[in-house]
Amino acid sequence: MKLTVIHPAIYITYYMILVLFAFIYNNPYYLITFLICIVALIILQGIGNELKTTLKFFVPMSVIIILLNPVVSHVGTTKIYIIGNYFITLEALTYGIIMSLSLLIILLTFTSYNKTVSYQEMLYIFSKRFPNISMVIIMALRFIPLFNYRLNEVNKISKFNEKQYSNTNKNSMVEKISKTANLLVVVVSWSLEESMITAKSMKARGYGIKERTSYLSYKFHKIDYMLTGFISFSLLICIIGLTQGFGRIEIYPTLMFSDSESTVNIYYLSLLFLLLPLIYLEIKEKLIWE
Amino acid sequence: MSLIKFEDFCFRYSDQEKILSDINFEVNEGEFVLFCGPSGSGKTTILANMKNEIRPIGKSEGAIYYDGLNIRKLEDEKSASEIGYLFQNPEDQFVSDNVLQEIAFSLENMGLPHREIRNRIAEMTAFFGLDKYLYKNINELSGGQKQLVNLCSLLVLKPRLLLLDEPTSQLDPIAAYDFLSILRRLNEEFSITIILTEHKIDNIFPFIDRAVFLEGGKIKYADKPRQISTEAQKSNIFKNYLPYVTRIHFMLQSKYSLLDKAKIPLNIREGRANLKLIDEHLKKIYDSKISLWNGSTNKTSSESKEKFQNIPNHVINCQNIWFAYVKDHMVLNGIFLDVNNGEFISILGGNGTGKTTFIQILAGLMDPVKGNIKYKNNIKLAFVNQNPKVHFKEETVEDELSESSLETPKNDSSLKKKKLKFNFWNNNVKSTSNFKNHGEFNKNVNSNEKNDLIDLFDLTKLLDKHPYDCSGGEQQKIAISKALLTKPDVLFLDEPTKGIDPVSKIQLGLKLKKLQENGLTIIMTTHDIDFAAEYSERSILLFDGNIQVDDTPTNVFSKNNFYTTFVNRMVKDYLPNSLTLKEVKQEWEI
Repeated sequence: MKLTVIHPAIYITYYMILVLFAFIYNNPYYLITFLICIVALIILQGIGNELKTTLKFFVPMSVIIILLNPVVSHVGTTKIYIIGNYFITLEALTYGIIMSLSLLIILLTFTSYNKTVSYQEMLYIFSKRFPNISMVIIMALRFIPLFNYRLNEVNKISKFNEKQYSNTNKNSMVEKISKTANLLVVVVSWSLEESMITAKSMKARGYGIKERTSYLSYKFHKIDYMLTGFISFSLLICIIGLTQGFGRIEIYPTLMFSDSESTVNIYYLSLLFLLLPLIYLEIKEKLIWE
Repeated sequence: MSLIKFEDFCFRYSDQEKILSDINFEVNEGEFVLFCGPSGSGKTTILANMKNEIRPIGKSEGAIYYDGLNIRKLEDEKSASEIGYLFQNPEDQFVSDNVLQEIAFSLENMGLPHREIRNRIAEMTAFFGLDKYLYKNINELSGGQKQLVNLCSLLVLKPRLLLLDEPTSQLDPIAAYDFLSILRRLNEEFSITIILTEHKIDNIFPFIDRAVFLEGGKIKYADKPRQISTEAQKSNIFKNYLPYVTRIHFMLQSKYSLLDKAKIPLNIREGRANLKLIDEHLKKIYDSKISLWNGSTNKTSSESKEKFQNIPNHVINCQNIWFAYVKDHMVLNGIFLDVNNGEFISILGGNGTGKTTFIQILAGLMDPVKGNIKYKNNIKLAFVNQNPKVHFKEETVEDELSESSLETPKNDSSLKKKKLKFNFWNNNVKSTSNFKNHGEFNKNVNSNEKNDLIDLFDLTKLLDKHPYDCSGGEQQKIAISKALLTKPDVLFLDEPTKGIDPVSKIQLGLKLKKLQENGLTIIMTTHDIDFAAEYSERSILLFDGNIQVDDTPTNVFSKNNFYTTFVNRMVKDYLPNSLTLKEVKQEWEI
């Protein structure tokens, strides 16, 4: 979203709520709705290809969860016999599936979050509370690529030297490790040396003499208030529903879930509403551009 | 009233000799002052002492006054915002990874309100033309742009005094020139007082108000450019610091007394005007038939070109080299190159033309994407990175130099190192006697060779220093000696003259020349056209991923109008083929 500026604090709380809810809900209907909305949002955000990378990582993990959970845990009353006396329980199987579904939703939520909230906006939120931590993060973001570059340079030289001067190519494990350690010593001392200059340059520009401000500034606009109102309203209803058990199913000790039961009620709709605002804004933006 | 005033200022690091002594001088508001001097003469120490936050820890006597107030009593906020300090290396000063964040950093430190921060950034980035790069990552910028961002992040604080410590030493000539002209604008249009240290002063000498030449921590000369030239040219050291134009002038003056009355030239325009003066004068005397500097010696240097083509003694043979870091952007497109034994090759080219990439591929540090490189059998290569720090891993220079030649099993060498250190503790006598003792320990090293190198590169004084404590030029020399200790047949140097003072540069050049005479093949990349013209025998100009010209320096540069040496630009009308002072001297018999 480029045309609608929303206060990053709202984004951050909103995504936090989504992640929490992905944990709390375990009714498959609710979760699948959740999943569909998040996927729709990601596609609308134009990062559909990120889905692939997430899935690449997720599929093996979910397989492990789904297989491992029933194997390890035999809690539950509905037994499914596989070979002879060896059984797994339906409950454990269901639990594994729902767990991995939640996990997928959370992963996708984070993908979408990364796209929506730039790290600078995040820093803006945190720098007020934790100015030092945010400063460290800023510096780390600069330092990591630099460190990588230096490591690369030193590595090249060391490989080159090895090629030139040593005739015995086969090194023992210990030698290899000590060589790598030597290499790191060079890189670290080099980096530390240069960091001294960074520190000097920070001091020279007055770091630490006053309380820091930020060049980024976000004010609460009308849309922010509307969004806050909308989100908190649907959030409230969802929570009420949750306390009454809507959106959750009982898995242990006995699976209690019937697919005939109608899920469309106010609590389900409020979750749907909670998921819609960003999708709505994205669609609106698309329409404006076309 | 003066903005900065030094009063009997002395400085020393604890228990050491004085780094600075009896510094007395004033800088007025709006002045542009240049500090020059060999490395170790205390330039940086003087600059850093004017900035409370980063002043070196040590004992000082006397006082420095800023705006009439003792600088040590300056409020933090005032010192931070009114005195800006720019460091040598553009890379290391960055705190964050994007331009906007970096420029805003200093303003955020001052606790300015949001609106004020945006205003100032908007103004400054527009002035510098950086507004298009605001959201760029620092790594995507060129060296010149990086230094500009650094400068910008100082200027948003509205400083009255800018201290710049060799700001252009890491930049290529064109970026350096751009940077200096921005400084000039700042000085002229905003009356910001600028104090600058610099080694290459040809571009900056014409527009400074005053120059201060330092030697051994003392002010040797301090005067206006023209006056200081007259004095400095008598000194063997400081002669080398003057612009080429001025040096040619003094050489001619010794022969043609009519120049005594002429103004000392500081830039090429003035220099050429003086040349014309002599030309006309000579024409008048000799009936306009003989002008003393007719281009009688229009030697076509084709013979020298043949010289390196006739020797079929290839050391390295490059076939169709292609290279790219990312698929879409080719850095090198199909380069063919033969390197002959005993050549001194300089590789030149603008920023980002792939010089460093090319030399690293030539040396085998990286593999080309396509094509191959053949080396002569049993050839030994040595490589010196443009940042010598890559090569250092020991505590002292002495260890650094012994370690590289000890290719014996690890345990053995570490034992020796311990002994060496022990030795240092025992006799704190002069280091000359020290390394003689070490020679006995390193029996498998040809200690004579090492000592020769130490003598050759004047490293005796540095032996028990930590390599990081040495100056840039010294580090470069140590790294080169270290490479030479492995007795290579081919030496690769990536930007060996970066940040080196003029005198050390001459020494380095002569030493490389000497090594070359002993049969070493040298390949270097450089931005320094003067250095390449003076010492190398074959210049390769890279352009657009390919070798544009491959010829003797004379043939490569003399045809160019801009991309050539200062000497050549000055004497072009009379001696189109002369690139260096030495050549001009010969031609004009002065």
